[in-house]
Amino acid sequence: MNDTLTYDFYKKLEKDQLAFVYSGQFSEDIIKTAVNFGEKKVEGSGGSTRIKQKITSLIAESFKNIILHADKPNILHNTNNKPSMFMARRRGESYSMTSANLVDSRKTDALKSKLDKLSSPSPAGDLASVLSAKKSGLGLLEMVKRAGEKVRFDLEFVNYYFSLFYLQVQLDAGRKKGRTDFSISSDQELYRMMLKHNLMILYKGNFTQPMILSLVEMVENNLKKKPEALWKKKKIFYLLIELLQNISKHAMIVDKSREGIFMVGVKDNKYLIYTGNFVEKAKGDHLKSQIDYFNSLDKKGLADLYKASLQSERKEEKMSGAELGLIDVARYSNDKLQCEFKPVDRFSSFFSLHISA
Amino acid sequence: MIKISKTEDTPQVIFDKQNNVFEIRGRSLPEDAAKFYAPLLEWIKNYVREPNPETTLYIDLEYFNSSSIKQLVLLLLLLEDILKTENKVKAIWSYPKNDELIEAKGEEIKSILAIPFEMRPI
Repeated sequence: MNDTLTYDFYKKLEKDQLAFVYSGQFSEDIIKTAVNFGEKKVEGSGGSTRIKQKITSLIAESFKNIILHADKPNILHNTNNKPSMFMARRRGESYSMTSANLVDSRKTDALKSKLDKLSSPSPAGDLASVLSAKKSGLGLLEMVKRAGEKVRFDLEFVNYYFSLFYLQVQLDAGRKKGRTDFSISSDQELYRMMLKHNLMILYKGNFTQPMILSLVEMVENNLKKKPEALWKKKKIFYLLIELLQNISKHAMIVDKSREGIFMVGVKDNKYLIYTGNFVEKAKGDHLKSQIDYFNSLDKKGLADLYKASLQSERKEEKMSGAELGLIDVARYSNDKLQCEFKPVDRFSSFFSLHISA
Repeated sequence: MIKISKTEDTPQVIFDKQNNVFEIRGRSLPEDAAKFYAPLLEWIKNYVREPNPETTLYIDLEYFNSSSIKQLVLLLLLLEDILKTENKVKAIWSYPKNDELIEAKGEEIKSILAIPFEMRPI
């Protein structure tokens, strides 16, 4: 495992109060989950109803756009895996939503001209005529109409058959418009990073219970389609909850937020879960010695430790809930707990944890 | 009597002394499990002073977090007081037949309790 992976992603997204990237299954049932997630996301920032509606409909349209218009290569097209991806980011009161998906290269010229008409300052007439087009891309245009703000796109050449189409919509909820700018190249870099490390979901920001439930639901949705045994799915769900709640309960508060980062990747049928958050130095030292201890035990040793901890309830609250959960995380992971503590300043470190399930 | 409806992250709870129904069903994933279970523990603490002749606590959880397990254990330990009396008490741990995780958790809890604890695969 690349020890600094979680920290690298965190640093890249440091300026975003919130960042969410999804590259899992795009299907009708995920739309509802994503919209639900969007609602909670806006709630957190104290957004108005109007903004919430704009954002949630943008999210829905982005997903629909991907579901309807992403072209799928077959084996003859010799296209290395380029999955569809959705990104949502927030800085202050500026939001950016980007969708990335493959498009058949035969469509790119038509797509480009349609979008050029939209992004250039054009009188209402042009927009109306474009909007009246009934064919593919109508959902897309709905999206743009509703955004009413900055739209950017890029077509990245993949091969003779396909291009990777990025569409970014930026929405400024605050009074001072146009203050923050999300560059599309930053999104493209994020796409490459996600792909390189086989990541399916990424979330960076404030960890609250509603947010956690949304994230877990998303993973669950993806798991549903897979043929894995119920036991394995339950295990993944259990580990996710433990790791995420550890952040929401114990992460150091940064700027009034239980700040952290969470990533899930899938490789060779294994689920790789990464979490990162800040901890006070002393707490970090204690945590490190605990993890080292857990890693020194075998599965049976961990099972015995777990039972002993449960039983210690008889006497007093010796072991904190977090520790009990961490023992179980150690038990049910495929390998040892992998962690890293990166000193950030005199008082705190960035704690990364990585498990495989 | 306690009657709590289930939510996205907390279970349905029915503690009904009159009708002799005691059950916890659904999902238990609250961020602050101690807070959710505190009133339940309080109620049981009172109940065991004057329990029904036969008490059966039925537990059927689809998902739970580790802090919920901890609270459940505390709750089940409180029921041990009934063993000192002539009254009967037992717990039933219900789970889907092929759910090895819930089964394993049940076995773990069973191994540290003194009250009868029945594993019930469905």
